[in-house]
This record gives sequence, C-alpha cells and structure tokens, in this order.
Amino acid sequence: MLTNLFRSSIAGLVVVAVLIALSIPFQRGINSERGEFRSLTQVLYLSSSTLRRVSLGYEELLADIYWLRAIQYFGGKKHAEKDPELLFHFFDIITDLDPKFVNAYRYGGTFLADIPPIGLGDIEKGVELFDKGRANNPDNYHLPLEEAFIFFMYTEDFERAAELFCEAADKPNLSAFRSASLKGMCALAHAKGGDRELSRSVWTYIYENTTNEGRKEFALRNLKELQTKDMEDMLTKALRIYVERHGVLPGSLEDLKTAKIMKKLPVEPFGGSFVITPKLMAVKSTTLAEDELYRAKDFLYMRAQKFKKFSGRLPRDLLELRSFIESSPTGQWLEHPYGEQYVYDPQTGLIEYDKVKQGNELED
Amino acid sequence: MMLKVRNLIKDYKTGFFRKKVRVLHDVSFSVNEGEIYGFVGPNGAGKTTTFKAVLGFCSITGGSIEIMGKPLGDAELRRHIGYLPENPYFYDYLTGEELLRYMGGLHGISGGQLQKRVEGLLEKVGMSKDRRVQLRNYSKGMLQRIGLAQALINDGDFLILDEPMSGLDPIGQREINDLILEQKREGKTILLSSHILYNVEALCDRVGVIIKGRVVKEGELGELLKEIQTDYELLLDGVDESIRERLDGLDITLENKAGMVALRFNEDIKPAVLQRVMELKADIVSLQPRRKSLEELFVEETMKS
Amino acid sequence: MYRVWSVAHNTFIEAIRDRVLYSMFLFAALMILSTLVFASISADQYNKIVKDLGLTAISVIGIMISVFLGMGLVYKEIEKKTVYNIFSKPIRRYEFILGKYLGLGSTLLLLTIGMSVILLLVVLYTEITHGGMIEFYYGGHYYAQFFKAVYFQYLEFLVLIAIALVFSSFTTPIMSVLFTFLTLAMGKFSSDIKLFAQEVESPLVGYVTDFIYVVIPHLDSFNVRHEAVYGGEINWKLIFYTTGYAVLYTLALLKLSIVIFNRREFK
Repeated sequence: MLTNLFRSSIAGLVVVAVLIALSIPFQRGINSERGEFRSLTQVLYLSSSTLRRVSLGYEELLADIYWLRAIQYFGGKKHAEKDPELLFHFFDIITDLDPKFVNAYRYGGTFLADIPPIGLGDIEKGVELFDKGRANNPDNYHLPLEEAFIFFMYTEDFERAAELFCEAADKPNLSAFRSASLKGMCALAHAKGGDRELSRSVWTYIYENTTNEGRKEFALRNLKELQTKDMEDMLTKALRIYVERHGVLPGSLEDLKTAKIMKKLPVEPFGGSFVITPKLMAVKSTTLAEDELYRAKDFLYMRAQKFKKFSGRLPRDLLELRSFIESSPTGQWLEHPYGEQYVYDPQTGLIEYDKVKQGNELED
Repeated sequence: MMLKVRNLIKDYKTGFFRKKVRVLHDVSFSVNEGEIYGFVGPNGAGKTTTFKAVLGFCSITGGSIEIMGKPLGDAELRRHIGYLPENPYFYDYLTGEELLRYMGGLHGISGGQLQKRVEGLLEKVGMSKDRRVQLRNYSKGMLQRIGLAQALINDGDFLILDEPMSGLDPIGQREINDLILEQKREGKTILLSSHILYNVEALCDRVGVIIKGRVVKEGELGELLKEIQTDYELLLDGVDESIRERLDGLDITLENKAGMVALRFNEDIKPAVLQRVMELKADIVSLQPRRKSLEELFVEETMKS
Repeated sequence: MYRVWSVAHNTFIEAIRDRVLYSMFLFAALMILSTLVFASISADQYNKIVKDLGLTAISVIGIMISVFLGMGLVYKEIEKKTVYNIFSKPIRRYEFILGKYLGLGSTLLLLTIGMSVILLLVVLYTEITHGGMIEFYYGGHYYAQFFKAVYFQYLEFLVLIAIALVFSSFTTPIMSVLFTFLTLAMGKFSSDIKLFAQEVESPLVGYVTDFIYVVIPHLDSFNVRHEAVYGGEINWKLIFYTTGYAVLYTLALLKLSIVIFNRREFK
C-alpha cells in the first residue's frame, strides 16, 4: 500500500519533470520571439514612480540593484552598443529611488558627458544628471566641481564653469587645501575664461584626484595637449612675424629657423608634426587637429542622426545641420581645425574626413 | 458480510520530530448485512479514526479492512457508501439544496435523476421548507438532518454515521433515530458510532466497544448487557462512615448522600451485605438495582487494560 | 468528468459568493476608473496613463485574487473537514484537484473579462474625447495588442493559481501565500536569472543557474503591457509559444499538486 503510493509518487514526479522539459522549447521560443521586438534592455525601461510604489519602502535597495545592473550592463557591452538614453534612464531611476546617491550622479554624469571612448559624449544628459544631483545634495562639492569640468572641457562655456567652481568653493566642510584650490579655480575661471593656466590646474587636479585609470591617462593627455597648444601658439606667433616681414607664407616651418625668428623648432609631444594652415594663418599640431576632426566627425554624425529622428530624414546639407545644432541651447558648431570646409554626404550623414585631408595637402 | 476489520493498527507521526503516536492498537470487528452496528466508546477512543481508515482517508499501519469482500482502496466501492462525518462543517455559503446537488454530483449523478433524489431527500428529512436557506443559518439539528440527507444521496447500501446524535436535543435525537430505523427497514446496513450508549441502545442490533484504540467487547446488545453485572445501591440512615469498618472484607463503595450513607455493591454479595446491615440495626431507606452506565463500563475496562 | 465539473462548479460558487472577491473587484474597478483622473493631470498622455495603470490594476488585483483564493483552495477543505464529505464519495483525488483548479480558473476568467471590459470602455472613452492626440503621440490605438495583453495576463493568472494550488496542497494558507509570493517574485525576475546565467563564468554555477531558470515560472513572459501602449508586434508565433509554455507549465504544477495531495492523510 505504502510502497505503491511511493512508486506512484515517483512516477508522478517523473511526469512533472517531463512536462517541465517539454516546456523548454517553448521557453526558448518565447525568448527568441520576444527578442525580435523587445530586448532585455527595453524591459528595463520602467517609470521610476512605478518602481517607488512597488518597492514597498525598499527604494534604496532597489536603487542599489539598479545601480549594480547598470554597471554590469554598461561595463560589459561593446562601446557601440552603449545607448546614452538608456544610461541616463538608468541613473535617473537610481537617483529617483535614492536621491542621496551622490556617486550615481558623479559616475553617471561624467560617464555620459565624457567624450568617447571614455564616456558616451552626451553632454546634455550628463549636465542634466549633475543638475539633479546638485539640487538633491546642496552640501556636496563634488557635484558642482565635476559638472564644472564638463562645461570647462567639452563645451568651453567658461562662464558656467566659473559659476560652478565658485559654487563648489562655497560648500561647507571643505579642508583648507581643497577650499584654497577650488577658490583658485573659481578666480581663474572668472578672470580669464578659457585660460590655459586654469586648464592646467583643472587637469592637474583631476590627474591627482581621480581613481579611474582611463581618466588619469586622459588628464595626462590633456596636460600634454596644453603643452602642445603652447607650442602651437609660439609657432603661430613666429609664423605671423615671418609673414609680416616677407609678405608670403613660409614654404615650411624650417624657414622660420632660417629666418632666425625661432632658434629651435619644438618637437610635437605626441609624435605628430606641426603644419601650416594657410586659411587660418596659423600652425597646428597634426595630432590635435586629427583628434578634433575625429571628434567633429563623430559629433556631426550623431547630430545628423538626431536630426533624422526628429524629421525622418538626414539634413540636406551642412547648413541645415549647422542650424539644427545651433537651435539647441547648449549646441555648438565645431569649426574645422584647419579652417577648411567639411565634406558632407547627405546620403549617409557622414563627414568624409579623408577628403578634408586632401584639401589640406592641396594647400601644401 | 458488509465490513470486516481485522487487527487494525494506525500510527500517526506528529510534531516536528515526526514522533510516532499509536492511535489504534488492535481494532477488529465486523458488520453484517442489514444490521445496525453501534460502535461505542468514550471520546478519543479511536472511533472516528477507525471510520477514516475504513473510508480510506488515511493510510493504515497494520491489519486489514474489507468492504463487501473487497480490499480497501477501490474508489468505486464508495458508490455504495453513505457517510455522515462527525460535526459536519458543510459549505456554509451553499443552501441545503445546493449541498445535496453538489454531493450528488460527486457521485456522478446528474440531471433529472439528481433533481428527483434531492427533492425526495429534502422531503424525507423534513427540510423542503428550508431548502433555499444558506447552511450558515441552519441550526445544529437542521445540519444533522441535511447531513444525513447527503449521506443518502447515492442510495448506497452501507451507511457510516459518525456520532449522528451528538449535540442534539431529545426531539432531534428522536427524529434522527426514526430516520435511521427507516433506512434499516429499507434493507440498508448501518454502522454508527456514539459515546453515549443510551442513545444507541434502542437502535443497535450489535455493538462493539472500543477503548483506547482497542475493541474490547463485541456482540449482540442484549448479551452484552447481560454480561454487565448489576449494581445495587443501599441507602442507610442513622449511621456514619465508620460503618465501613463493620463491613470489613466486603467489596463496597461508600458515599455520603444528603446526610445519609449510600453503599454500592455487586449483586454477588447482596445477601452478605444485607445481613451485616441488619445486624447493625441501621435504618434502611431504600435498596435499588443500578445498571452500570456505559461510562462506568468504560472505566472498568480501562482499569483492566 | 461530471465529478470534476461538480467540484469546479462548487469552487466557482464559493469564490463568487466570497465578499473578499467582491471588494477586490470593486477596488479594481475603482482603480481603473481613477486612471481617468491621473490621465487628466498627465500632460496629454491620456492613453498611456489609462492603459498603463489600468492593465497594472488588472494584473495586481488578478494576482492578489489568484493568490488569496488559491491559498485556501485545498487547505480550507482539509481544515474545515469538508474533505471527509467529498472523499466518502467515489471521486478520485486527481479529479478533486482538477476541479478545484478549473473552478478558480473560470472565476478568474470571469473577473479578467469583467475588469478588461471596464478598462476597454475607459480606453474608448479617452480615445473618443482625445482622438487625434493619441495617434499623434503613439501612432495608433493598438486594440489588438490590448486584447493580447489581457490574454497573456490571464495566462499568468492560470500559472499562478497552479502555483498557489501546489503550496495549498501541503501547507497552511499563510505559508502558502508566502511561498507563492516568493515564487512570484522569482518568476518576475526570471530574465535577470537568465542574464546571470549568461554572464557567469564557473560552469557549475552556470548549470545550476540554467536549471533554476528552466524550473522557475517565467512570469515576465506574460507581460506585453508595453506593447499595448506603444504598439509593437505580438505575433502568432509568440502567442503560440507563450500559450504552450503556460499550458505545459500548468500541467506540471497540477501533476505535482496531485502527487502531493495523493500522499496526504486527512486526520
């Protein structure tokens, strides 16, 4: 009797296992079908107010879970797959759930605004997140300071950066040293705007304070860049003296030495070279110019795509693209580093940067 | 033979440590076709557990049960059984009629046949008037009657009624009594349980007495009663409890009753007791035979075991 | 079969005569109607708010009803000793379990239809009053997706009742509710478990996670509310797979309930 019952129970459990096993292909089917119209990441788009309600008082825990998820998700993806909209959404939720989660603003805001490949290059979203963070955490000096870096580094809105440096300097509970260095940045930014002195102190600050290897390297690179820019200025000055004296552009930079305007030509710190740009009547480092071009190409392409999102087609020409960019309050047109015109393909929305190079060579 | 239970043993495992508790030690009895069998014993003796084992609600640890010559475990057998549980808690959201229809449905009876049965039974147990009342509003007696009706819904040959009389007033008991006798007249076999022998005395053809999980006596009611010796109660005035010393050597119990002394003793020693009392010149108020109640019988049997 | 029907019928009657059910249904209706209020302060997002909140109300209330009616499904019959009545009749235990399941399943069918009709009326009302707006913001009305979302939701209820039934067949209502909600939570996060299974490096942990993923109910598969608001394809293949999954998984749970219930003794 009992053994019968036992035997039938085992048989029953086998049936259960078989049914579950049979359900596996259906599970797979669901996953593959749903994948077609909804990826896992899309499921993560939830409104934070819903989350707050369903979290039943465990908002912080939920914020942490989301935080971990965001880090996991964005840490593991290839760069091209990272979507600033989704990242912003993540951090928006996290900070809705836990408004005092300062590191979420700092990490999220910086990561959003930093240029690729360090960040995602979406300055607007980054600034938005920092603004939210400052409103929720009025005593924290990291948030205005790091937001100031964004304005300083990427949009070169020095007025705004200066305001934020000053705001950071005014926060309570700062150490004497920190307070002094922040006040210094504030004063410099106010006095001189985009002064290289300020840049140097900002980058030195970042270089010394960041724990992120990539950012440290980036700061170092920027310090080197500042050095290069100093050299560019020096060479440009020499070039203009040459033109004043001789009425024509020198054939090469060597001419500056021959003409005894410069004792010694500087070596480009990044291993590139310095070239003369006739349109600007200036000397540029090829490394910096290429970087700028690369960034401009990326930026313009992204804006062209954004344009397409709004109006369903790509901008007809550069003029349309430019007016679209400048219609956004923080949008700024990026000038061609050699003072040339970009070559734009309205079919793909791409800036063809090889052709620009050719243009430059023509001038040579 | 309708039911044959042999050496039934039942253990329950209880508590966190699954400690074994033996509820039925040795239960053997049999119910013949067409008779009313009373299964009597004090509360907690194992009556209900035995019924549950018979109906297959729980597994059995040892022994055997045969219903209509077939071993236990055949659901089809239950087609022929009607069962009234102890203190039936029915679905209080159902009306009497709905309950009967549901219970009929569980027997697979449907349609016009079900309707006819339900009507007939409501009539039979006198519940036609209250058929549309929800069970939550029924009195104990009404519940017992509707409970009996649902036990009869399949018109089975074998009725198992667990404490059909309990909690009823004398009129209610009378009604149930009559209903059970009517079933017997229709040729049904009835197994019923009770903890009060008096309630079933008049009904039962045979009785089994169960105490502490053992059937200690089984037989025709008349024989069983004969076997039970009669006690006498002698009420004396003008003596005190010191009389016990004078009655030394006789098996009596002594009790103070309203300033008088009551002696209780067995039939066997009646002459000896009376002789001694006469010698003492005590004032005899009364001498009455007293048949032992089932409770006392239980006590006696319990002491023995 | 008639015996199964009898049990189902009685379970249905019990449910619909339960005052708790009425108050829950009333609550759901109020929630759905109140979406109109929320919609009016939503800066033109009428359709989204109404559908989001309405479908969520259906989901939450349906889940509550499934769990709270499911928890006592078997336990109450044992506790109130009504099983003695039932199993003195020639009904098999599996018939009883099936009947109970079908009874509650049909109760929920009725409730789901009731709640959906109310929601649909509210949706239609907003669409009539704010016609052009909805197409402007969402590009369509997505009625088909709406009905599919309700259907998927009902599938989830069916799985959930079966889960509650499994627990109800061996434990007390409180534990049953606890276990059911735990399973529910696991089921809702099943895609995270899948994500974890994909990311994990140790093969052993991977197998274990895969196993857990296969065994737990994928309740998040039944959520297509998003598509009911924003559109999006819910094709017949997905409907087929999801239905098949719900049916097989429910059958497994029912079989498990029967195995457990067969072993149960009524004391």
